[in-house]
Amino acid sequence: MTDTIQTIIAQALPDAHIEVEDPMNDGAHLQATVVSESFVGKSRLQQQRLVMAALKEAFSESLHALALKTYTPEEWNQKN
Amino acid sequence: MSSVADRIQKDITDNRVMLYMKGTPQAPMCGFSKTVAEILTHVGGDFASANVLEDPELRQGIKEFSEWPTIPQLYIDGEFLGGCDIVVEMYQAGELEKLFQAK
Repeated sequence: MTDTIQTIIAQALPDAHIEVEDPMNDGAHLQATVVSESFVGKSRLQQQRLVMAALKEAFSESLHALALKTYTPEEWNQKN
Repeated sequence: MSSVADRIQKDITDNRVMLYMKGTPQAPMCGFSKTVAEILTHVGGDFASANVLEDPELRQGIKEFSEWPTIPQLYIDGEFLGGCDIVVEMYQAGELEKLFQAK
């Protein structure tokens, strides 16, 4: 499931650095960190919308929840 | 016309802070809904809520209305603020409190 989600996000945001985890190992409650240039100048909601819109179908099927963190490359570098 | 969309529009217009959640603030049925309800209570604002588990039409309708695939969903001043992650981040950054004080 993590690979599927990773692929879907990568298709929507080709430049993105993406980390998807399945902390409960149930394939339904996932965590994702997405770093992309396309987040620059956007509000958190707009950033998350870009990711969530791509995952709409996955949510209607097997995915129940995704804890999502979005960062611009600059924010990501400061954080690490 | 979709009556669900009309109902949601009325809810978010009539209530400054409107939370769509699984369960109720007193008896939340999902960890994410619980987190958001607790934060809103802590920040101290009055808020209205709707339990999507009691209403399958609303559960689907709110996702289409917001173009957001998950519950909970928080509306403030008639605008979609976000889901659990955004609410938690805004709370931690002190932005949510400012929003409540700005009334």
